[in-house]
Order: sequence, then structure tokens, then C-alpha cells
Amino acid sequence: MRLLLIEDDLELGHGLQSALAQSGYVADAVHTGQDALNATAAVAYQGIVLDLGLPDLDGVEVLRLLRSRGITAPVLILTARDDLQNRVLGLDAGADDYLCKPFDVAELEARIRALLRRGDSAATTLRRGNVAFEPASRRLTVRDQEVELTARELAVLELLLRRSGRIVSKKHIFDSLYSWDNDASLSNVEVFVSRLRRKLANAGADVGIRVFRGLGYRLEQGYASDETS
Amino acid sequence: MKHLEHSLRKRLLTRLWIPLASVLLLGALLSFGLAYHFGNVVHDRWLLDSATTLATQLRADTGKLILDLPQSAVEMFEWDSVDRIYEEVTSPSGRLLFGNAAFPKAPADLAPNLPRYYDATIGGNPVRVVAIAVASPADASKTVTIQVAETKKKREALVWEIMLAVVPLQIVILLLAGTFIWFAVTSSLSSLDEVATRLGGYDPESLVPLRGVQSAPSEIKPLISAINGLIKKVSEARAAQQRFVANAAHQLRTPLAALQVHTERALRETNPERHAEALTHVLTAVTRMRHLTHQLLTMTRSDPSSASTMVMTDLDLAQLARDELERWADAAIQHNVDLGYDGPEGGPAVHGEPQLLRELIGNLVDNAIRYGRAGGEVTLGVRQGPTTIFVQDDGPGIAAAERERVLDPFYRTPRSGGDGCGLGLAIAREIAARHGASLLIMDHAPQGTRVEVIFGSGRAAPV
Repeated sequence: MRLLLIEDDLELGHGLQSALAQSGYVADAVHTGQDALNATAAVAYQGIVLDLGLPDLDGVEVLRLLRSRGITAPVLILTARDDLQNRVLGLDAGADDYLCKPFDVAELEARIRALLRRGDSAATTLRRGNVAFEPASRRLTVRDQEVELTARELAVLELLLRRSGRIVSKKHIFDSLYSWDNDASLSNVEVFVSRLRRKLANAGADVGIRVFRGLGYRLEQGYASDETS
Repeated sequence: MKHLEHSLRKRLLTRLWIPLASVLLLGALLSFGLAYHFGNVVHDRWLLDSATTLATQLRADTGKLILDLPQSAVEMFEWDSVDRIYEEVTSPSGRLLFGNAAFPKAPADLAPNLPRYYDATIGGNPVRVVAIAVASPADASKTVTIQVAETKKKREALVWEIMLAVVPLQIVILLLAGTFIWFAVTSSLSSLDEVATRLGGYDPESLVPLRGVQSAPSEIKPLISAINGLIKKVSEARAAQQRFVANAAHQLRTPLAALQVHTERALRETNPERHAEALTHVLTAVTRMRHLTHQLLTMTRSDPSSASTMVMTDLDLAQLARDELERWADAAIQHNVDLGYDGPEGGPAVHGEPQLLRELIGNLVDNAIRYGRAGGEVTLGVRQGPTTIFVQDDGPGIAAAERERVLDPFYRTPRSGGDGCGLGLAIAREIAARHGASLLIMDHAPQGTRVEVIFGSGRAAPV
């Protein structure tokens, strides 16, 4: 995985380059818009991290030029300005994500991971911790052991895996499980989640489902729900 | 706006001078008319005297009516240095007893002894005529008609005399009154000029109130008081802003100091464990600075002066609240707080700036997590009618006496530990105000704090 880091602040650029290297990314750092254009012409990068405040060209302008030259690599914008107009401007110019300074390195890496995944998300295995789910074959393995789940339990788990790290509301789960004319109630969702938690825990999964009162459920690695039996 | 420009002085002078001149002109015309009238009356009396003198010369001589008028008397009677006198005496039967000119026929309905005056022409000259009927000495039941006429030269001369007296007098009065008015207007308006000069030379940097309010005329006093009120407000706002900036800079100093200490310590440290520990503190200090910077920016953005750049849209408050609440899930887990939502999945519509409303909700939730009970419960709720957001915790609560003060920027309650910067509630209140909402701090039974933001209850902030 080779990334291009366009950041005019040498200190921050160096720090980011080192931090990304720690996580196994090779990142080339450039400090001007012109260097960025030259670099992208020479190397096919998998992802680009772009600071909007550049000394020679405006970051949004660089982005437009990149896109007009047929470079489709996902672009994550870094900026110190977090107002809505700037955000919209960047995304409209062809950026894939947006991160405001200052940020956690962990968050930057998570977003880069998500961007790199985006290209080939359709049929691949959904994975979280030692839990893996293949949407195509609807096969679930925990610690490489196959685990039997009902179709609805699998559907709930798939939703949680697909929105990994985000809270999925009870209503959202309900809507994707039942059609309009069904007279099931929201409490059915609680039953499925509860069974799912138990089955995951019994299979020795290192992910758990955390309940947020009134908000919904979130799949978390290293979270042990207290519903083991 | 050019057409609105006017001078008070010009307006006052024209509005005083024109009516004054009109009144004086009218007065001149009236006094001229009166003088002319009375002059005429006097001349008419003289004419009547002549007629009655003629009447005394009527005698009855053996039943026959005669006018006993010697030639010398006639001459004396007719003598006048300026005007010509004509007379005519007619018997009851219409016979001319005496006459020196062709008179028009006397009015037919002449009552006895009641003189009648009229204008006529005799021999081509305009004349004033008096006609009187007197009882005939020969037969008391019949009347003799006497007419005396006089040319109008004296009367015309009188007109000129009056004119010569009245016109210069009126001009003098007009000039005197006009001068007095000019003086009164100009001297009264000079106090306005003085205020204008003082305002023109005002130094906007000094923000010192205008002096001399008491000595100013009562009409200008409210103006000066209003300007002084404005100056006071601006200077207070400036002082508050300076205080805020100074406070902010001081707030930045503490984490900066911590940052420096721990960085120097890390560089000096040879023990890898203590090195890592020092770096953890560096990260903590950076996180605090990051939080403070973010809060300062939000504070600026929610300031009334940025209201004009706010992009307000219609949005679903419940959805926004749930979305924002999710961002605090990890912080809640870190503080071992049970974070929950209580309200509809979607629903209440609010016209607002989504980013700022998120900040509002985020600050309230952040406060509840930070200052609530460790292992406690924090709930964000949304209610309809009136649209309300509330955040409640089961922590130590905020004493009633503190509730006003916690809304002040940088104020932190004495026992609040943690690493907050004291801007959260101030920001929340500012944002609420920008959305015409009011922010209330209350108790949450049995223990804890409940902050309510009620939309549509406050006065919409001026834009």
C-alpha cells in the first residue's frame, strides 16, 4: 500500500509519515501542490492524504487537477477549517473523506483503512476480531470454527458488521428484518440480539454487542457482554 | 437619500419668515383700509354739514317755498382750495329751486332726514354725493330734496398720505421681527452645532462618554444620552472581549506548560517505561489544548456577530441528537457512564445551523459525562411541544447559587476537577440564544443535573 501525503507543514508531514510507517503504510511526503501533481504522474498511489492549505496551489484546486487527470485514488482531506462550506467544497471537488485538524492518529488510520477498503467491499468477508462472516455463503466463523446461527440472527450480525464501529438503531434492525405487514414488535429485535450475544460469547468471540439505551447496538472488539450462559 | 437632506435652520427660518411677512402684509392692508374708511367718514360728514346748511336757508314765503341764498353765501359755500362743490335743491314737486350742476336723480326711496351717500359722475368728474330729504317749511308733510357733491381729489390725496405712513412703518416692523427671528433660531440651533462638532471630533478609540449632558437643551438630551448608552455598551463589549481573549490565552498557558514539562522530561528520560509515561502526559496536554481550541472556535462561531454568516436549514432535531450522541459513546465508556437516548427516532423539526446545534448537544453531553457520577447514567432526551432537548445526569448536581455563574465563560465550579475549560455551558447558551431557545439548569431527582434547551421560548437573536 503506497500513500501520498501532501502536507506543507514539515513537522506535521514528518510526524504523519512516521506514524503511518509504524502501521505498515509506505507514504511519500510532498509539501507543495506542484510536487503532488508530479508525484501522482509518476506513481500510482492507492490513497492520497491532502492538506487544503498549500503554499502554491489551493488544496481544492490540486484535487480538481488530480481528478481531471484521471487519478481515481481515494482522497482524504486534512484541514484546519471545519466549517460546513469548506467541508462541502472539498467533498464536491472529489474528496472521499474529510478530517479536521487536530486529529487522533488512530482516527486517521481508521479512515484511511476504510477508504482503501471501499474499492473492494462488495463480496469480501466481513471481519471483526476473530469473527468472520462471508455474505455470499452466509457462513460465520468464530476462531475459525463455524458457528450455526438462524437467518435472522445472521442478518442482525451482518448489519452490525457492515456498520462496524457505528451504532445501529433498533428500528434500523427491525426495518431490515421485517416487512411492513408483519406484526412483530421492536422487542423481537432485543430477543435476537440477546441470542446473538450469547452464541457469540459461547463460541469464544472477542467481540461483543454493546447496548446503548435508546440508541441501539454497536459491535465492539474486546467487549464482553455479561450475557454468557 | 439626497432628497431627505435638509437644514433645520433653513427650514425654521423659511417657516417663520413667510408667515410673518404674510401676517404683516395683511395687517398693513387692514390698517390702510380702516384709515381710508374713517377718512371718508369725516369727509362725508363735512358734505352732510354743507347739505344741512343749505336746508336752513329754506323758507316759506306766503305759502311758497324759496331758498334764501345770497350770492356771497353761494360763493363762500362753493369755495374749496382743492375740490369742486356742486349742490342742487329740488322742491317736493320736482322743481329745481337751486342748482349749479346737472345731478343724477336723487334716490327715490329717500327717508326724511336720513342722509344717503353715493358715488357718481358730474361733468366728467367722479364725485361723492350726499342726498337728504328735509321737511318743506311751506308744507311739513312734503319734503325738499337737497344733494351736495364734491370731487374726490382730497380723498385721493388721503390714500397716498396713508400709504406713505403705513408702508415704511411695515417695512421697519418686518425687518425688525425678521432679525429677531433669525437671531433666535440661530442662537438656539448653535447648541445643536456644538453637539455635531463634538461628535464629529469624537475619538472612537477612546470610548469616553460625551460630556455636558446636563447643560444640553432637553430636546438634545435624549440624543446625547442614547449615544452615551451606545458608547457604554461598546466599551463594555470591548472590555468583555479583551477579558475573554486574556482568559483564553491564560487557559492555553496551563496545558502548554504541562506539554513543555512532560516533553522535556521525555527527552531526558532513559528508562523506556517512564519515557512512555511522560509521553502519555504529553498526549493528555495536547488533548486539553485541542479541546480548548475547539471550544474557543465554537464560541466565536456562535457569537452574535457571526450570526449573519450562519446557514440555517430545517432539520430533524431527534436525528441530529442521536447522531451527535453516538459520537460520545466512547467517552461514556471511558468514564464508565451509561449513555442513553430518550425520545423519538425522528420528528421535531427545528430551523437551525446543524453544526452549531451539534456543538450545543455535544457540550451538554460532554459536561454530563465529565462532571456526572462515574458509573452513573447520562440521558439525552428530545421532546415535542415545545421542542425541547434535555441532558440529565445523576452526578452531584449544580447548587442553585452556582447556576447563573456556570454559564459565564471560563467559570468552573470550585469542586469540578477534570480537564474542562469552563466554556461548555457558555457555548451552549450562546448557541441556544442564536436559535431563539432558552437554556435552563435544574435539579434532576433524586440527584443530578438536568439542562433543558427549550426552542421557540426565547427571543430570536437579532441577526
